Amino acid sequence: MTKITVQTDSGKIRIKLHDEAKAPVVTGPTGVEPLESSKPVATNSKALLLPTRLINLMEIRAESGFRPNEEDVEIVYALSGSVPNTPDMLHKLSSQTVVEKAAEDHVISSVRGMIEHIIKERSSPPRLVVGVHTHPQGVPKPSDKDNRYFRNAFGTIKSLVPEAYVLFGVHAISSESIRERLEPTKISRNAIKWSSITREHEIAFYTPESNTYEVKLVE
Amino acid sequence: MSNSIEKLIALLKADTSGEELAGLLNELLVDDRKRDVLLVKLDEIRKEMSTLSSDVKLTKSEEVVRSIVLGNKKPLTAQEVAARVGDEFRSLKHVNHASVVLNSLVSKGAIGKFKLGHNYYFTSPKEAVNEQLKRRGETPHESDWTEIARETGMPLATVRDAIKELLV
Repeated sequence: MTKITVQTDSGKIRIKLHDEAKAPVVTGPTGVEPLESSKPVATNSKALLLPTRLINLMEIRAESGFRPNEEDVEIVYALSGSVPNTPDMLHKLSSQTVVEKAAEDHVISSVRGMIEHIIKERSSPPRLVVGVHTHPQGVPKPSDKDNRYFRNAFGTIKSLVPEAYVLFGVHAISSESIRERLEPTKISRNAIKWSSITREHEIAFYTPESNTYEVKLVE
Repeated sequence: MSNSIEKLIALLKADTSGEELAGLLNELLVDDRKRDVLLVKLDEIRKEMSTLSSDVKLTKSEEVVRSIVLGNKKPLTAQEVAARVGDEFRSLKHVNHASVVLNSLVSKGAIGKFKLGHNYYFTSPKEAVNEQLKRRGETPHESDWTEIARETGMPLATVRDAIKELLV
């Protein structure tokens, strides 16, 4: 069973959707996307184990930054986990306390604000933090600015959550056109590619030193 | 106590949201004006529910158009659907007629619809709801079903089913 929030004319109501195939309920406050895992995940893997069920939430978050007749802007979101190699929550980070400015080629966000949000939304410090930003109509490779950001953000994150394993993701999204949905596939050591019915997505993961970090898709 | 009231009590007790439902009903039933509106709304809901899932009746034309839309891997416009119709349904080759049938299918929850640029595209209800969530900046875990239903023209229950599918 999954708890979701449904907006109505008179406010918000919480609804519990029954799901016969799922594990016990995991809930989170507004802005957090909890992921229910029905299978135990290995914690000794040297790769990031990315559950396929998170991909759709990443797709929605990445594409929701675009507005008709407005230029595409970069957005940020984060993945977090209670073990060092498996994310189990997506954090939208759409609050102005996290995102200070978003433009076509850069986004200015508060690392401290991001971590405060994650801790609040998880109710405890995470063991894994993956800071992700998008590259609209770009490639999933960090720019020189991104490399500097990774190093600086890593220092701030470790000072706030010393136990957390820290990685970064660059999520490239194509321009909008009608296309066939393609399921997520691993296309290189550190990158996953898929398509929605309107945009192509490619996300790659990096260490704070901007080295590639292996990713594996898991159910 | 009547059978219906006893059954309602049992259902509320067994429901994980029973306490919330009972609270809402209590709040609405103590006021005559709210009670009357509730009755009208419940009747509307019953009518909407009767057009869903297994109760949905499709005409031959609708069945043809539905299979074209759902059989195609990419979303289609009304023009593209009209161009794919076989000779046995000549009237569907007219875009206006194809549009009427497509929108009827959307209102029955058999297919979904979303707008991109100046065109409306027809696809599965799940993909249409997914697209609308993106346009609204919402997620499956937190969304406005009523607005999505209004914007896509799909029944509320179809939106609910699509959201549930997206959560899996």
